[in-house]
Amino acid sequence: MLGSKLNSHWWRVALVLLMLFTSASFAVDKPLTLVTFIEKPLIVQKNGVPSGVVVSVIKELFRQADVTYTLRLMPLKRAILMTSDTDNYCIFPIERSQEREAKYQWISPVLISRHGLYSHPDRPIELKTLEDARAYKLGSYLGSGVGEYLESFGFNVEYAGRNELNARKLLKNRIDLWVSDTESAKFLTKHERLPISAPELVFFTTVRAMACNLAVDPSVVNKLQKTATKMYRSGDVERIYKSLN
Amino acid sequence: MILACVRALKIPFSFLFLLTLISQMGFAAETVAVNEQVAKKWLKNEFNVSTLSPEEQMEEMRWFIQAAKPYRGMTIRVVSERIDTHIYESNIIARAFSEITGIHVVHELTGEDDVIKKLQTQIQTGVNLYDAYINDSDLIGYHYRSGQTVALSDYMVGEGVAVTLPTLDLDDFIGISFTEGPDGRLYQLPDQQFANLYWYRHDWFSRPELKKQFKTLYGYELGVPENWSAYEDIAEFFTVHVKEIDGQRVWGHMDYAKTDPSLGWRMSDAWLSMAGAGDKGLPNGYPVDEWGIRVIGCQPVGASVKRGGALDGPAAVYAVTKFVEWLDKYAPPEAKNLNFTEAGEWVAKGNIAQQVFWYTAFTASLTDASLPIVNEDGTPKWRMAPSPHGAYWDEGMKLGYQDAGSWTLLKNTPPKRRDAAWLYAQFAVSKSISLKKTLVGLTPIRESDIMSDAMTERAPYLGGLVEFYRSRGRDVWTPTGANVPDYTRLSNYWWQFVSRAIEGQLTVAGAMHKMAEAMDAEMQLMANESNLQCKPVLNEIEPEDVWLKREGAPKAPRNESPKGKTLSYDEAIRAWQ
Repeated sequence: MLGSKLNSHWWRVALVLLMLFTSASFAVDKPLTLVTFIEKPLIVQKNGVPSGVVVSVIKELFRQADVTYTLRLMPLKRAILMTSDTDNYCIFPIERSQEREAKYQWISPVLISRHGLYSHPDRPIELKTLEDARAYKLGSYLGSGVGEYLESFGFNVEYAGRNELNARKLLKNRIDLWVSDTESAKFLTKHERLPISAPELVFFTTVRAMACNLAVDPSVVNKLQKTATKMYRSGDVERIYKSLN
Repeated sequence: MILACVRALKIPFSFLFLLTLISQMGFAAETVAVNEQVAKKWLKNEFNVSTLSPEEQMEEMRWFIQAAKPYRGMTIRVVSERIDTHIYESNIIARAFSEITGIHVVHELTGEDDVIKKLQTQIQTGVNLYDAYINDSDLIGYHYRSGQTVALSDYMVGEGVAVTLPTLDLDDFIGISFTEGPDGRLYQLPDQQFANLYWYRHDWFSRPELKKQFKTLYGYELGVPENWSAYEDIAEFFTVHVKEIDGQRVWGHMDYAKTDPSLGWRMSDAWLSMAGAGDKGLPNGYPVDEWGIRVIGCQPVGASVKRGGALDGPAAVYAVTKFVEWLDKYAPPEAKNLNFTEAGEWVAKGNIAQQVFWYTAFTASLTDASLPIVNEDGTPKWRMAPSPHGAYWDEGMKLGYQDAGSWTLLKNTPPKRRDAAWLYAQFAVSKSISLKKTLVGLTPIRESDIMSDAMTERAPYLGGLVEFYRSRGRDVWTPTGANVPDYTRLSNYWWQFVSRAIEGQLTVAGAMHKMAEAMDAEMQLMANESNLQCKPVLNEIEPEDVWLKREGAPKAPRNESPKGKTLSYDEAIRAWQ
């Protein structure tokens, strides 16, 4: 009887150990799913896969940190929802803000952006401070933290599906000012030969980050954060971003 | 071509140089004259109230115009949190400075947590995000330890001497002690200050029928609570017994508890000091401060009781227990899901009787004549008063929090950009500008402004703000101090752990123990990895009861339910004198 109890006990221990081992190796081995979205020229789709300088920074980050991952493209709004709701998901690059802070674990910065207001070439609007833009209709895109930021101050913000659509809306006089990060705006106006010149005002700076679901192993997040900081200090990040130009 | 003409006409080079110089001087003189006209316009139309005479104001403007010459045409970037004072700076003062000096300023506004994260990012990555930050003096412990922040007291007499305003008058700043490191150097310059005080409906507290009902139920007068027992009784009185006033559901308590960085400030903005968790000492308890961190000399040695800290001691557990209990029992049900900003709008609705933790930064927003909490003559129906203290509080301790948003320059900002930003910083706090800014944002920084006739005239409309800032109270409500070695790294723990107690995932005691251990572990990491001066050296672990038997913090359990005590408003105000 005692023997049978012992046998039963050892079976249970073995089973628990097996489960622990399986889940531990699963946790270690299961690659993170990274989701990102098209934001020309920083993130583009090339041969069906995400590419661009921000993707290059992330690939180098994961290589140096020795963390495995898979990478997918999807629309920004959906990518945010997926990351909030799904274990093992991380999204980049989104604005890290006080409102979002508690919803994710963060690796930052992966991108520092300046955001400007661009006017129609025939209707320049002089802006000394952001307040001067209050009378106008501003164009941002869905999921943009900067659009939400402006809306929280009571600005009149209209959203498009993607950033580049706003440049067209501006030229068709459907918005008064296009809100865009300066790198994207520079690229779009140059490559699509749009007659939009320098921003009237560069009004805001964002620290954009990789946001991970709260269930992602904190030690992995910590490792990635340390590696990201090291990459900035060593000049690795600057080298990759310089390749943009 | 010019060279050819010079040669052909045989004009000596020295003569040409002289001509150029004269023409440039003429242009420069013209520019200065234009700038002076612009300055006069701004002084007449906007900054028309000042403790300086108009002539003295104009002298300051002339100094700014001259000092700004080498930086004209530059665009500088600064960042601050989004409160009324900074909105005024961003919209009005930055524009005035740009027009007067020719240095364009982009003054960004964002959440306080974002300001801190951006400052941390600039330090960590070396990327020049901003040329100056308006950063709460709560980070003073980091600024003096890190070696990354410009010591202004050195800068002003050294490389920044040419761009330092001769009439800055540091002695006039009421919060200057908050921005000095233990090494006696000044690291930040206050730009705005606000305290966290008790707020209540003076009109309701004055109603005879309510006073009578309260005395019958509780045995003492309805008035400004001196201790937490009285606050709790008053909260219960309005929420449970009064319930409705003039046909409207009313609440005896208001707070916020959404899992968000602002929940952390609800705690780290000195809630534990009000309970009495730390030691005596101003501006912060020593050797144990209100974060529960003990230091030996300047070195942090632990936050947990077992290392001599007080973060998980009886007083801290009592503080958070009362926070959760009052929220559950006496606040509107929505309160749990609100953050700092959302909750700030509630008292203006006119259904809150009192609030134990209320930032005076909201004063301006509560003075609008259209609000139900303002009388027809513009005087408020509400008052601010000294915060009640908890059962562990002793005379000689700080009694609450004061925020001192202060100009901060980082060493890795390019010098020319830093100098230009320093000019803007001083412009925003100069005597020419500061009184008007104070009247708009109600976050005073200068003794001269507080004592001005303009503030005396406004006092009846501000519910006690002027009285507070003219009293010694302004020295007893203080920011986070130098015991906290790295505010940015440690402050997240407050909301991350307290939220678990609010959501019922952990008991309050369990959450505080885990937070204290996490803070100890983080300080150990700082000790191992960083180059901070005065970096943490953790105490060896000793049994908790050994520490609790020793004098001072961490304090042994006390009677947490002493009899409630209240004061009349006049008595409460006199306590500040």
